[in-house]
Amino acid sequence: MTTTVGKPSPAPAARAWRTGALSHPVLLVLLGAALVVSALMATGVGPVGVPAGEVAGILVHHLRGGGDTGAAADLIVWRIRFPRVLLGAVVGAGLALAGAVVQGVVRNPVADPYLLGLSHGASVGAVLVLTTGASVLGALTLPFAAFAGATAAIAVVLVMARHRGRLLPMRLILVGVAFGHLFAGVTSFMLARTDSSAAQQQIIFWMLGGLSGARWATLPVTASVVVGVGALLLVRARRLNALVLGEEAGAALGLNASRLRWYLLVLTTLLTGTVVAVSGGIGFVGLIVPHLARMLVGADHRRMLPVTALLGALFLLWADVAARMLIAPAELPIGILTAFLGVPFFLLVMRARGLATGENA
Amino acid sequence: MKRTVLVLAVVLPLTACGTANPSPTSVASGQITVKDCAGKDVTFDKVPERVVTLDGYAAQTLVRLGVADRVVGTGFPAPFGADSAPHAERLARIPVLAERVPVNEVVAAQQPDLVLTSFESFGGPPGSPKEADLVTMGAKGLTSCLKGSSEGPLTDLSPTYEYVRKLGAVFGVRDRAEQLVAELEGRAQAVAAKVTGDRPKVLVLQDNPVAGQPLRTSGAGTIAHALISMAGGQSVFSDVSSMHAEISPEEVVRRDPEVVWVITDYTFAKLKGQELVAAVRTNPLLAGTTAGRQSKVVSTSQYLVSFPSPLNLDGLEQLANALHAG
Repeated sequence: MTTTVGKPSPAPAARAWRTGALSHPVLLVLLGAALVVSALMATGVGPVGVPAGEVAGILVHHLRGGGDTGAAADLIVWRIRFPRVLLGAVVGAGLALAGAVVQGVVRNPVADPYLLGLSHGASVGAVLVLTTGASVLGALTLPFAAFAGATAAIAVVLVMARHRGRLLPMRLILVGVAFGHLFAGVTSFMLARTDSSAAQQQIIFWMLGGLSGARWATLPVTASVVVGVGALLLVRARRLNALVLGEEAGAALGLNASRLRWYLLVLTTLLTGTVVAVSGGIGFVGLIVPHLARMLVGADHRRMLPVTALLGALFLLWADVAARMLIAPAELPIGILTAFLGVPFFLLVMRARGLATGENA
Repeated sequence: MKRTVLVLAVVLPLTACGTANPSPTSVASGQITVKDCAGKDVTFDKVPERVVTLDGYAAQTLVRLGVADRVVGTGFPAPFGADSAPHAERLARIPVLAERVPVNEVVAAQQPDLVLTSFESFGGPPGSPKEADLVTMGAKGLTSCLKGSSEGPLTDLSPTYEYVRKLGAVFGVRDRAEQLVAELEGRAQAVAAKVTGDRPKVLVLQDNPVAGQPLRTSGAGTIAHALISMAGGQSVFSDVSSMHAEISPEEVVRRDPEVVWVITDYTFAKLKGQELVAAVRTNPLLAGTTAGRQSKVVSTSQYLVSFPSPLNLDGLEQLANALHAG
């Protein structure tokens, strides 16, 4: 458990990558372009067939400021699919970024955004709403309860993990995992106790995650939080590098490790709480995507954080296409797809690049 | 005619008492307002013209109200198989959007102005439209309303009748709705008239019990529970409320049911139809009960008894005949 996430000095495989044809800016441009193309393609795909030309026409019409036309295709493409595709990209980027930061903060490669009890805390909040049928804030009740649950969970974890004013990685992990189990137990208990089969279905779907809650009205808040927190994280990327080196090395560089951990964890909570609130507990993205990014550009957070965000966005966007299409016109929880698509892809890249063989861990 | 009047005399005071889900009220001329299950007003400026039924149950009600031509598509058509002439033929002509409950986008493609489900809420099955999605597509939504667990066991078919009346109001066919309710209530009365003093203890099973696992039964809030009461039996699990309640096999033996009522065709059941009934009949876990010893096992398809639908009366008649036969 003392394994570090990967030292900021370039790992051999990453160095090999960078001495190849692609420089870091080129890679970012390529990923950005892939994301735009993917978003357009994903908007063209759905259980209801809309010809590609018509999809393009509808998008152009709206992006130029045109209003709703009232046509079924317009409703489907602009009001249902496109916000969902964008939400997928935003949530994917958010989860991947949060994963990268948590892995750095606790210096553990198997950490993910949910390690500190966040998603289980959010689940408790969401399930309370789903089982009691509370709707104090209308359609925003569920996201708000999930966010409140996540925040309360991490607050408890941080307070319990604190030791003489310091936040130590190992205590964070242990306390986080322990509370995660407690919250999962509470959720399961409420699930078992509820009478409504509709509520049961909603709870199970919520725990596995999904993007069907996407709407134009709520997208800007989520997107702003992800972009804003992403920028703040990037500003701290160099210090995060130092933090990964360890307490003593960090102190030698004039770093207050505990304070930086607090700061980064608060940002991660905001990030994860926001995306979990709208998408449920989508697993695996925050665990795997940061490692993919490290394989591509090395462990320097200044380089890997932007790549992580773009890869996360791409990955979740396509996972959602699969979730919508595999058993169309029914739908699968996206958490199933992130595992089905992510694991083989990750293993493939790991083997191809000869990573985690010991000499670069 | 005399019977109808009698039935109305019995029933009208009951509906007047049922303020939890009040009967529809008209606000302005041409405008119709009904309450949803949470008591919120749902207002219609005109009679809906493009209706999507997320499940076949709602469509079965609309066919009987004579407004099937407004249904532009349905999901989950499986209940149609349990319907009879002349309704079955009319139902077969409704376009099927999906074998299960259709996802949001498929419903939106029909540009509905009203979306109906006989399930208790929107947004249960993954990807199916939630209430916010209906707002996006400019449609109203109405679900049937089962009682909450706090309101005590369901012992009548008020959810079924209420939904018929509500839809009758929305489609401007109140008379037809009252006629249908009176006919359904008449059938219920006919069953009640035949019920004798002896009330057998009934265990509902939704699947074949397996050793070491809990059994699945229908709790007190369900249509199935109401039908048992109305057919002159008593459920042995009136104290659990869930639609798919899990109960301990030991508790089944302790409560010693005299009749096992197998509700077939649930998607999660490992065996279907009469195969399931045959397996339950020979199940050693039930051998110690009175029902097991006397091999008193009766069955009904879930399409008749799981959600509010006019076919609930078919289920009631089947159960009553089976309970009191021999």
